[in-house]
Amino acid sequence: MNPMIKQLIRKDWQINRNIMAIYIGVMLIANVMLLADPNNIVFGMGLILILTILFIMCIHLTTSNVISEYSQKTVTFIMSLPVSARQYAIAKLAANLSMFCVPWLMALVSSWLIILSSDSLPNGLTALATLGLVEILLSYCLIMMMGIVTESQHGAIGAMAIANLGFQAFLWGMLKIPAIAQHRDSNELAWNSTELSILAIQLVVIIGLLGTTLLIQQRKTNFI
Amino acid sequence: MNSHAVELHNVGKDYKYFRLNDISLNLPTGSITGFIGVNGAGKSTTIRILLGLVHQDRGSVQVLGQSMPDQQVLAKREIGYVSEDMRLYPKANLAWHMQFIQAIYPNWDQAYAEQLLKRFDLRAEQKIKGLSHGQRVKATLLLALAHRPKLLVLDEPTTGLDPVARQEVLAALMEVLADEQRTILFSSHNTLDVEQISDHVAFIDQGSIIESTSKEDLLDLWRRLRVRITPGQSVSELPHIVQQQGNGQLQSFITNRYSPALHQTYEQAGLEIQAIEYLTLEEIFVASIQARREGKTL
Repeated sequence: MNPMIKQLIRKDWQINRNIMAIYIGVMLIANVMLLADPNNIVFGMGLILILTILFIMCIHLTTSNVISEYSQKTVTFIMSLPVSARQYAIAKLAANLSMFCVPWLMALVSSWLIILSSDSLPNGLTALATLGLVEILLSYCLIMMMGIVTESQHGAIGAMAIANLGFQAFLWGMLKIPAIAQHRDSNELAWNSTELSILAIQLVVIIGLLGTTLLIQQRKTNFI
Repeated sequence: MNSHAVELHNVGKDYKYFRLNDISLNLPTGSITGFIGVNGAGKSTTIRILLGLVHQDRGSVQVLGQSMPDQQVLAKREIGYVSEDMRLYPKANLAWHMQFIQAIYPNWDQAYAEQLLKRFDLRAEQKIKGLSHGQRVKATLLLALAHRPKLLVLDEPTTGLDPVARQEVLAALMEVLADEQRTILFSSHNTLDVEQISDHVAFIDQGSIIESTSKEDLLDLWRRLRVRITPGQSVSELPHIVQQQGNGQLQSFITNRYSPALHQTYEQAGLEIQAIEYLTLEEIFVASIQARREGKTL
């Protein structure tokens, strides 16, 4: 990796180290809460806490690491360093994705472990949990892309609204698909073709969003 | 070694309400160029283009031998940039910024950075959000100077500073002038600052470079002549008069081409020259802007 990109990623991590420690800490607590019986209120609260942390991070990381670089004019300082617009965009995407992915992976792995180790939760639920979490990752990529591309709060807020509606529609749609609904209630671990197709589409959209962000940034002629 | 650190040739940029009019500007290596213009004249746009932060629509830009914006990464390794609208990370302290910059520039001079810390009366452990405007400018200047750039670009660095902070910043700049290989571009609408430190001067107005020459030549060629004219005498035909003031027999002219020969020409035309005065850079700047806006060719 280009040393300048590495420096910029490290810089974003250092700037956000305190808040990241809080996010990871709260995510750990939420994961511990999931160890409770699925019928217990603590389990439900843990689930809500995990989703809340991820949604807050979608908004907060984009606002503090992307939008505020423009509004606080720190982007002028960064772009005066030996860095190209493309390198800046790659670093910004990599830093933000890695920051989001630490708690996100914690949520993903713990959801699998808890479902698979619990007698009261069917193993088939792992597919739905995974698709739901990948959808949140997709939403984050969309919000981050709009933040980077539009450099404005309005763009990011618009993307947040779309992502929020999209997530609700996604969950509603998932439960309406018979293949997913049946698998959710079964103890079968292997994914069916419908779930694999949806995952593939989600991954293609995520890659598309990241690629589009780089492409648009590369074609910009004004950076400040 | 290239004789020019910066070469702009017919560089143009079009915005909805502003146009940079195919400007050409060369900065000799080792020079300190004062870049003067009113607010909105095009100073910052020009500077952003030469840093690759804004891409020109037309023309070529060479900075330290690198073509901009394509080779901006290579060029910016040797550029220090301080801008009035540049901000450091408010939650981080100056020491963190110094470490960050040190990791990027191999030429970082820690001893010089610490010397500047003392000189600017800054504390490395203080968070940026707790600094005054003057301290923030000095912190940014420290970061730009301590990696020993070949080209230092300063976009209105003294704007908004109190007189003491302004003098400290100017004094630090005077000190770096000792390095004859370092080129400095200093933009300001404050001609006093520019007059103190620069050896070259460029005026920009409404997106066009209207003057670019050495400061000494400029101060030498521009003069105010206090003259007595005979009643009814016309002075409109006299050459190189940029501005004329007064209506009676006692008038004053500003010329931008003063020489003994021109002096003689005026006397032969019947003018009684009573006094010849040097102009300040501000007076020259204002007179040239007004003349250009009146459609006069200088």
